[in-house]
Amino acid sequence: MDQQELKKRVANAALQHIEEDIVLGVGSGSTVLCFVEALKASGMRFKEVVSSSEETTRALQAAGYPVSDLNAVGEVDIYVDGADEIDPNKCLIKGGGAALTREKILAAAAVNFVCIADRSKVVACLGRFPLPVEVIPMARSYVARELVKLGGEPRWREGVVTDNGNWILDVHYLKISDPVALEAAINGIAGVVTVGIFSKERADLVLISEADGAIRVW
Amino acid sequence: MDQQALKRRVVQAALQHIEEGIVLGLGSGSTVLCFIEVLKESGKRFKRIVSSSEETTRALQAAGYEISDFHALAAMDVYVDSASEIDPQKCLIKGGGDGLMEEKLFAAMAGTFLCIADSSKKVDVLGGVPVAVEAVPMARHYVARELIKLGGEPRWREGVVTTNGNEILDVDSLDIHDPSALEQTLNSIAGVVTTGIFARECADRVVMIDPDGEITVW
Repeated sequence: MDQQELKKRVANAALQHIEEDIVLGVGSGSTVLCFVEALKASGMRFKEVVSSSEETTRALQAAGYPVSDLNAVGEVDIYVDGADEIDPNKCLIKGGGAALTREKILAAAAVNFVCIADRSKVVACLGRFPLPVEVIPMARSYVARELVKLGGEPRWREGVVTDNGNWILDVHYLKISDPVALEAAINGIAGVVTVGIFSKERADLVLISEADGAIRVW
Repeated sequence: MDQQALKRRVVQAALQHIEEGIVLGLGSGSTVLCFIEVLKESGKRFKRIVSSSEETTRALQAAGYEISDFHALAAMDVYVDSASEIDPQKCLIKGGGDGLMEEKLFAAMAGTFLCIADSSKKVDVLGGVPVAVEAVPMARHYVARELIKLGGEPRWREGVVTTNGNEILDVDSLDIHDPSALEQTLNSIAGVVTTGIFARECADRVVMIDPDGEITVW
């Protein structure tokens, strides 16, 4: 089964883990766009829908779902999003699509975070995928030097500006054996807005589509 | 001695700790403006000067100093600024202005952070003034709820947008017996960009004046 088909499978499976009339948070990326398609096909309706990126907002609106401002909504019941890497403790790396700040805010504001992905995203230890770190533009050089001190090799994702007007450093070669500690350490660097490690805001439920299309839930 | 005379005296004392030819960073506020006056009279010259606010930049330019671009800077020798409160470990509460991020970045980069203050700013435990928390606009309500869970009373500084496009919550009633721990906790809340607690970036040297005009350096 090709990767697009696996994304569709897991996006469809996610529908069984959400209910109508809740406040639904929707993340970003290609698997989530499949999820928006699945939502539309299902005809499910929600109390409010909030979105983590401009791209997702457009897709939701095109599918007939009005999008609310998180500040007007309060708590989110369920947040559905993908991930770039998932470890056995449901800690994640996110941010390949540069929407990590809003994604982390929604994951934090949600009671339940349902993470959907295909099998290629499951790892024993986070860090093979370069770790995205969103920084205030003026702090880029300083933060990069601090990340080098932590053993990483930061590269500026040149030309990319986040929805919040910030920049992204992709940090290569970090071995993330303790995601909680590293997330806290990077959050403590002046100028860091968000780090792509989701350990404090890890997934509550993970849905994985296996190579044969079977869905594994953990 | 009147306020202005005290201010002049303490900045003159601070100036004795600053060598010519260094890379100097300047903060903001009335004490820093007074420092610039005294700097001009002293005729001291520096390798580079960077500024954390527009107001400071204008004052420096009026005094005949050329301002360097912060981005081009690899290191800063001394950062001079004031604070709202200083505890015995030299941890600070700063600002309140919309340049909080710049100030924290300067403090983080500087080899020496020299803090100038009058003795009324010295406290045993921080928290007599509100702690400013800079947050991504979308996260304002979520962050406020988290701050309330920590025992704080956040107030939105309505209408204020920081230089980085974010919003400010002023938080009263936080327990700051352990500034480092609280700073870390606040930095780990999704959507928080920076906070007015300077524990990790505490002052290295404090030059303080009491109402009689006596200077203490610690």
